Amino acid sequence: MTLREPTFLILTSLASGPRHGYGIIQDIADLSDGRVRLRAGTLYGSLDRLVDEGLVVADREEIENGRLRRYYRITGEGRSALAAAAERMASNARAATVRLKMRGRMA
Amino acid sequence: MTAVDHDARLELAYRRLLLAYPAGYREERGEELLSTLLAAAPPGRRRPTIAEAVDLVYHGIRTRARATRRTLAGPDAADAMALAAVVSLTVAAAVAVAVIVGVSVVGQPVFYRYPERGYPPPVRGGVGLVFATFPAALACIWASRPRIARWLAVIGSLGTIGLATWLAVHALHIQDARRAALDVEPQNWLNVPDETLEPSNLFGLVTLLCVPGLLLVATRSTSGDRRRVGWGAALAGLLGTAFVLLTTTDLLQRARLAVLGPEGTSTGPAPSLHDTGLTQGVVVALVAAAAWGLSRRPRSQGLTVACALMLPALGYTIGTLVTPMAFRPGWSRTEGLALNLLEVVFVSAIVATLATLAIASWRPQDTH
Repeated sequence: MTLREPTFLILTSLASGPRHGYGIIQDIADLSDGRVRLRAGTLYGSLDRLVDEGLVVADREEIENGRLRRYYRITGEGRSALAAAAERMASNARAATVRLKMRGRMA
Repeated sequence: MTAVDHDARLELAYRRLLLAYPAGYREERGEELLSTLLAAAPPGRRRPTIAEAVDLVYHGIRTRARATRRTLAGPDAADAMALAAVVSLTVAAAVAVAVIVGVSVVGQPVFYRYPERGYPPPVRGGVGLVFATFPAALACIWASRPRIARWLAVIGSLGTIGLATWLAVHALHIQDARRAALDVEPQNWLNVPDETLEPSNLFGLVTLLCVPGLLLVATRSTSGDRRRVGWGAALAGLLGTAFVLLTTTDLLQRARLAVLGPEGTSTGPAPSLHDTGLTQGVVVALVAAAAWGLSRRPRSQGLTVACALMLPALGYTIGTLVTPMAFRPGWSRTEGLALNLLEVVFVSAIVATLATLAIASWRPQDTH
């Protein structure tokens, strides 16, 4: 299973502990040095899919300033999916680096 | 940042955009989404950005599509489809019986608007054989033999398509003969057989008769359905049969003859499938079945049934509206052939759409 970037980043964000929607958006912005700023529609679209696939579950609800906040938690299955995706990406990145160096040497 | 920091107008605008999501989803997740949206909005913002609006509407529509897919894949929809299969098979069987009576037994060429002569015996026999598959399939459903029913309905559908193609071509030969005869004796036009093919007959017939087979193939399980079909289907079938028999055979003509005597009878063409009777009969039967479906089941499932049932009726309506233009005396042979075949292709396209729908409803359930 390949993970799309928002999905990958959401799982990455949740890997360190449960977060609510806005928390995930902020965390992903930090993780990506401000490069990725998820929009709410995209975030909840991905979260719904992740919940359906059992990679993420709703953890708890809190009322903050009169607003409902639902926290999400990564599951064991989510962790292994994220680990597999990270490993695949790392191996692709290594291959790319190696090839780039080869080309550099040939040139 | 507190909730009161936000402009009430911003919240209202977000709420409006959230209308893109299905109502059930909004009820469950709307407040949560709104809180995230408001938290993410920089202080002082009064209205959503265009990108935000596009994002919400896009994902709202996608969520709707997902919800629809899930409903279609769910057991309720499969149930509704199975029900629709049996009801539409009942209606098809009723029509098939009427056609068998009209074409094979009485020998009336019900496929033509101005039927002057019957079909040769091989055609009458062929029509009887093809159309007998539908009542036979229905009998198999009631006898809890869905597999055989499915095969019979599929064979019947293929036979109907073949018959429709043959009729489309055959009508051209009759037109050719008519033109040749009129070239010799133009003043004698009343005595020259004019069997103008009314393609809407074929259109409606093929759509109507192919639907049950497709639904049966798509739904697979029909064992437990016959109890639920019960009186609704029986009523629909009876209504359809009554209308079709009255309007496609010359029963009405005979009644008129008996009541009014020979002077009172119309000199117009004998009744044919075109004489709106079949269309009305089928529509009445389908509406009755759909109303029954709506009254019997929760609303959304009833709607699924109704939609499935209304498709053949829709085919009729479109056919009746579109086809008066499709076959005109005076058009060239090639034009005629092209348009008749276009009919068949058009019908096949509708049937294919329905098949896709039906197959979409027959996906294994999502695992949660």
